[in-house]
Amino acid sequence: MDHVEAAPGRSIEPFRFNGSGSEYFGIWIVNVLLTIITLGIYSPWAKVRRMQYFYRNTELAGSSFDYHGRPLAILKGRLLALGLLLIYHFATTHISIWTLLALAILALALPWLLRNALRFRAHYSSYRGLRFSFRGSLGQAYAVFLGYPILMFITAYLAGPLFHQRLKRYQHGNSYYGGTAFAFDAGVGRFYRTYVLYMLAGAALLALAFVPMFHMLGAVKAVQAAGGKPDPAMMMSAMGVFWLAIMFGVLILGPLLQAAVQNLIWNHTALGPHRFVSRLSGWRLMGIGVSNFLLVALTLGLFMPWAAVRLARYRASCTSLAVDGSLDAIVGDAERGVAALGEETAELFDIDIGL
Amino acid sequence: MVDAVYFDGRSAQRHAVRLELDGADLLVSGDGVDRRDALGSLRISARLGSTPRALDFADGARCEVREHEAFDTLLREAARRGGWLHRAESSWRMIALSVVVVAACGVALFVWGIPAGAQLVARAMPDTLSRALSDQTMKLFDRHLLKPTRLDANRTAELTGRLEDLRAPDGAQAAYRIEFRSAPTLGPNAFALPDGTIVLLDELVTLADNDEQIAAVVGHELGHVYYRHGLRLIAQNSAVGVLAAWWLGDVSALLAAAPTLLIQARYSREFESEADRYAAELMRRNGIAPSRLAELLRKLAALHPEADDDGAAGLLASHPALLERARALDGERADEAAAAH
Ligand SMILES: [Zn+2]
Repeated sequence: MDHVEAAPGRSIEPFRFNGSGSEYFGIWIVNVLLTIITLGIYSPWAKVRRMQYFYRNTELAGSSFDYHGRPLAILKGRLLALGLLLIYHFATTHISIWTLLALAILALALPWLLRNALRFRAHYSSYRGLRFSFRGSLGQAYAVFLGYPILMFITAYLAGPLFHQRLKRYQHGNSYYGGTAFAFDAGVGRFYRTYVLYMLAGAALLALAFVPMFHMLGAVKAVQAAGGKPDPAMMMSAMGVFWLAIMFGVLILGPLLQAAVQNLIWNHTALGPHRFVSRLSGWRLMGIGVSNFLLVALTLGLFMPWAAVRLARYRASCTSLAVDGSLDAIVGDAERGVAALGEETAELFDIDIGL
Repeated sequence: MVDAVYFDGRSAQRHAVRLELDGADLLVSGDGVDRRDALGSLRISARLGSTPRALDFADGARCEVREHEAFDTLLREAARRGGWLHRAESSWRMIALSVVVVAACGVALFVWGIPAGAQLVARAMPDTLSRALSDQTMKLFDRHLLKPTRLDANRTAELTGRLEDLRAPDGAQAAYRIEFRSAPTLGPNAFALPDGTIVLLDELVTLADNDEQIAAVVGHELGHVYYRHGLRLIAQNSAVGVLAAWWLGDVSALLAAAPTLLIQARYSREFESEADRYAAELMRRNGIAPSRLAELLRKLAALHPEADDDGAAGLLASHPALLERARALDGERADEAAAAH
């Protein structure tokens, strides 16, 4: 282990990702095949295997993480998500008095679902034989997942950084590793300072993409919906400008913002006395993102495993933990025995979220 | 003997230990650890790439092992549970086979699966729904795209009367409604809504040399209605979108949107020829030469010479090559001549 000495009693433990693209390709394609020949039923098992590949290959201070998610719980979560999606679909295509009721039910269910997903993901992750856990309250979940998005909506995304800060404060501030709590101390001001330039650039880009194209795009869509034939030249030019602007946003601005925000979040996250250090470079992230995008497109998706491994390796290589003393001192939560957790998790299920 | 790292499940403390087998028991010893457990009470994780394997003890303790070969040798059968998956995932034959089968499934899905599924969905769509959809679309058109017709009222009445006399290929009275509109941005064009509303644009009516050419266009649009192309296109696009998101979504949502555009061109090309064939049958039924449609298509092609090349524009253009369609209709005429003899 290469321990880089920092302050006395503090050592820097780097994260490391040991997976390889070609090894992951084999795992990925065989699991895709199994998913196809079982008509999708195998997909939760494939997801567990993919997650395990990434967790077990992520190493910190000589030990790996592990993922213990249950495929059946994932299946349950997906069926639930599908049910809600169908409710949403029918409620919004046939506007009636039921629409409001359905939307209200969805709005009330969503924070509960997301909190459940956070608990699932934490609880089924482990390191050195100790589980993680998430203990955020349901009340806070409603504030974070319902209150702030509504605020964001009525302020035309000006409250976006506030929402993100509250979300991370809720997520990181209520997470535990064993009995040791994570802490999050980045204030709203810092989020706004990180976001402000990107919000301006994003707004300019959206105006460029949408305002001149709005009518044209609507027209093309409407003609297609009727089985008609829009003028190809018009469609090409409308699509061309739109895609260029979106590509610039997603491939150039996206990674720069992502790196800045990830660094902000992790540099203000601590596990007990140990602090995280994140040194992602937006330009490197952009290079990886753009080349991954091109190679995945050129190989019709077959490059995907290499792309995922490259990204994971770079992310891990930029993250470390400034350990105060030793990680060995961390103990599990005595009050929350294994049995108690087992009972509690019967109600947990996973939904696919990207928080 | 196999080296491993032991965690007691109560703290994050690492213990370097050695694993040994004694009959049906596993011995763990070293660094303050000394325990004996029946193999049957342990949960041994299946192999996954070259990631460390885990042994979970009933009391929450855990061992991580990185020496895969030695571990397999030590535990023999007990360690091999779930090993078939690892063997498949690391066998190049199995991987190559997977690539081939997945690719074949993908192609089959796009060529047959999605169109067939979309057809089922479109057929099952109740009339009330397709009428509601058509009304919505027409309102959207009128608000954003279409203007009232500038044709003379006598002319539209005369045309409507003539077009309403058209018979479907099976001899039935074709149930549809003609609407006249003007739309300079769309050029000479016509389109059909799923409920049988056919919109003729002024620019097309003035471009046509005679009413038979207009009847030919209506026949083509009726083909779209008959085969429910509009609804099928919507269903196909949604299916392609969902599948592309599943396949590519991990890397980029942006990339996942691209196949929808590319594949749509292919599907609509098929729909256009299908509608053309329907139009030819309808015209023959009504005593009009199918060449009338070919004539009009050639006139349209002369207006947009760039739309007919086979480069990137040809791939993306949802309007299939007009001249190609006109040539296919020439073939229809030959068939007709043969049938007459
Ligand atoms: Zn057509």
